[in-house]
Amino acid sequence: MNDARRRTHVWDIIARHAFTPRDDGNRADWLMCFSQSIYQYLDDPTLTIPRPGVSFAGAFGCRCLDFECRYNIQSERADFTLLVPSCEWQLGVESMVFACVPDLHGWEEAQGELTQEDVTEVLRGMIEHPRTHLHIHQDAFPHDVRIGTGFCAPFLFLFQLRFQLCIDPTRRQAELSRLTRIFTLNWLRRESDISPQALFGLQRNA
Amino acid sequence: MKRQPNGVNFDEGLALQTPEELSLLYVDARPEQIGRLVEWYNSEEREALLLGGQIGVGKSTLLSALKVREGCKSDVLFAFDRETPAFSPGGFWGYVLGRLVERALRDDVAIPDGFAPSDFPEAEAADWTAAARFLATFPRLVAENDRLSTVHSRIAERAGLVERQCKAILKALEEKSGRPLRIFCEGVDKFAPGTPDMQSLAPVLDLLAEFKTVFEVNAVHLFADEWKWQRVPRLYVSPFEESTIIDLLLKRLGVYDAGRRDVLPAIARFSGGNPRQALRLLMAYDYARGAKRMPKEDAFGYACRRVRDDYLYLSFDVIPQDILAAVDRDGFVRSGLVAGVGLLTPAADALYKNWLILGAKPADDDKWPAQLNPLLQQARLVTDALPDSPEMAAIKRWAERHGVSPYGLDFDASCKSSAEVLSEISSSSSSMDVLNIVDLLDTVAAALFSVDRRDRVLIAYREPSVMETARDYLVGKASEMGFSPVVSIDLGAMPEGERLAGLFAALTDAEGHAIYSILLPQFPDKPFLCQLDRRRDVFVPYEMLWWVRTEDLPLCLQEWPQLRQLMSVYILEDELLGSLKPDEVQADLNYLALLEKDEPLHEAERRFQRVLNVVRERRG
Repeated sequence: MNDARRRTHVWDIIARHAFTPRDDGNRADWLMCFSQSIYQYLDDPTLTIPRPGVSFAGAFGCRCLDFECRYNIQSERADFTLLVPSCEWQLGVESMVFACVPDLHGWEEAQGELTQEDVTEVLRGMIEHPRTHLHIHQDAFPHDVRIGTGFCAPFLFLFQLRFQLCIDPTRRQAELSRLTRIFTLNWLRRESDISPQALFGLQRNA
Repeated sequence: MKRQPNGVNFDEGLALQTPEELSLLYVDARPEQIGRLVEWYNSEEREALLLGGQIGVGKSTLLSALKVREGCKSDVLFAFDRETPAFSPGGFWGYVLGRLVERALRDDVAIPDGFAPSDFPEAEAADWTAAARFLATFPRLVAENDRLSTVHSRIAERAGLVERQCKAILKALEEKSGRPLRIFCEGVDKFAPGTPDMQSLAPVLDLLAEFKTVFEVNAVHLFADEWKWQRVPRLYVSPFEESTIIDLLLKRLGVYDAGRRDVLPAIARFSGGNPRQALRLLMAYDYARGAKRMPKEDAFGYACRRVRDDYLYLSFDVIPQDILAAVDRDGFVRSGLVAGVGLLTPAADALYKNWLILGAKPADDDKWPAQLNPLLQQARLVTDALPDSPEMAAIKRWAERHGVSPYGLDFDASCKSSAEVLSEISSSSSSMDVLNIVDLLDTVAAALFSVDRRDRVLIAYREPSVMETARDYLVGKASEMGFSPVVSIDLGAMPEGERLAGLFAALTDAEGHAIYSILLPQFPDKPFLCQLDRRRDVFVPYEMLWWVRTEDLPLCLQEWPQLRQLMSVYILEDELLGSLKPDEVQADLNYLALLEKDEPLHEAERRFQRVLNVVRERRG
């Protein structure tokens, strides 16, 4: 099996088990962990904890980049409004609209050929340097911030944006290493859900 | 404090202490002073030295650099501001005796004649080890405090004896080591000349001045020669050049410098070369840009006004306008105006409170270059020589439109008392933000909930019920973010003489997991506020929310020239229902209901439920 097909499987498994909370309780838990991690991961952050209801609406950002993201996540769609001074744009994820679904058969065969490099490459495309991404060309906004645009999972978009808003290369590398330790080859073969506490590296007693 | 190797490292201008902090954030721009300190350290001479500079100029960091970077460790360290159990003659002598005995025991040096452990039955100490610990440790229990007070009285009655004993220990230690002891006296700068506390401390310093001791003092101490310890060689720590301030701020911004780089020349100019003032300006600017989303020039004006108010709230009997005007005109202050016996002269007071900023030490020690703190000058005078750039043009436009001082410092006007200044501040559009509960949370969250930072926030309130609800709301949010426990300390509920011990007894978590919520008493007495001010650095490791009645706020700020530097101050809006709506609080609770809960989340639920009850009750 070629690299691309094998990594498509890896991408799908990670997206389903770490970034697709199934019900309101899971979504609330995921977003609470996300919120708590903001103060631990970002420099000089801003945060509005989401309010549940028809949708989960919250915000987070980074003061020293003058950047804020307001999100509104429902079961069938999600909206992300991105604000930098004198500039505002919106990114939407409409889950009811058809999108090309990758061919995922052959996982049995792929498992035998999995390598750590597969995981590393998937995390690079998913988190660190998405294939399709936006840069903000304003003032001295850092080029290192790549806002991924090709995601179907809203929670993955949030996670990816959180990663991008920290431009400290040391912490970025530490975060990627941490994720690599979560998404191990053994875990991929087991395919169990990743709790948000584990995903965000939080010590909670829940 | 934990620091980020490449990220933003904001704080309120705390001294750098650890090797990690110094390697990341220290700007090596004082090679002469460090060289002189190393020379003093390595010399075989038994010579004392005053290391003096104004508040926030970087004295403590310089001492840390000496110890950590240059490897010049002290043989004996006295931290008079942080560790002395009581600022009384017996308190200071007892502390010094305790520390010296500890050192003597460590070096296996016999304790010379004088006081013996049996002279302190209140210590309940069988030997010198326990007695020394009793003398040199701040009491954490009220009963312990009472016992220590009795001991202090006994020591004060026989000050000659304890002095001789301390001197004998010092000599014995020197004899044992075969060289002069290197003694570091930190925190002397917190004791202004002429105050009762300084009168109590001075004889102790006089003894230490006979040995190889470096004293960390304020610049005003360098001008006096009333006591023997003040007549030793002096090493002055001057403000930084503007380019150094910019380097320092760039280090603080790490890889995030691009978005703030343009404003740094203006911040450096308005800092007057004082690194702490520069850092506070940068943080206020960052907050105005990032959280309040202000345009650059408005954000800069906001930052200047916010930091300026630190100075305007300080207490003056009368604003020394003649001196300020003379310095503004001449560019120097004469030493004779600063020097004096006893209480601070008006010029010395203006220096002590950083209204005046001294420049480099002059050759003749007479005409000291000095300037009015740029935040107290008319803004356009400060921005005149800024470089040309779009950002500087915006700041110059702001400076043309606004003064910095609320009353323009018109030197021809008659002198104003601090009460008049306070009245003007409160009637002007003060930069001290009046915030509703939700805005207050937005404002303090970044500092309060950061796992790396330890900040202190002072919140003034009018309505106790609004304060209690705000406290519940903030504690609920802190618990939601995983901070646990939130420790509530009501100083008003403690007897007057036991408040300090009660407060210190409660401060047990220096790891940063706890948030301390401290309610100041109504009409706090001045001596208590002064004690808090002198002991400012005790609070450095803790995350704290201080609550004070609005009518008591001016009194606190007037008495806190030191502590004020480590606090952000906000005023809580009286109106509760404008910001907190029952359905929004209910939404918080609904959210928590969806979660699997640990103890902090249970605490959050309890707090939000109380807030909801209050809000509903008020709505009828």
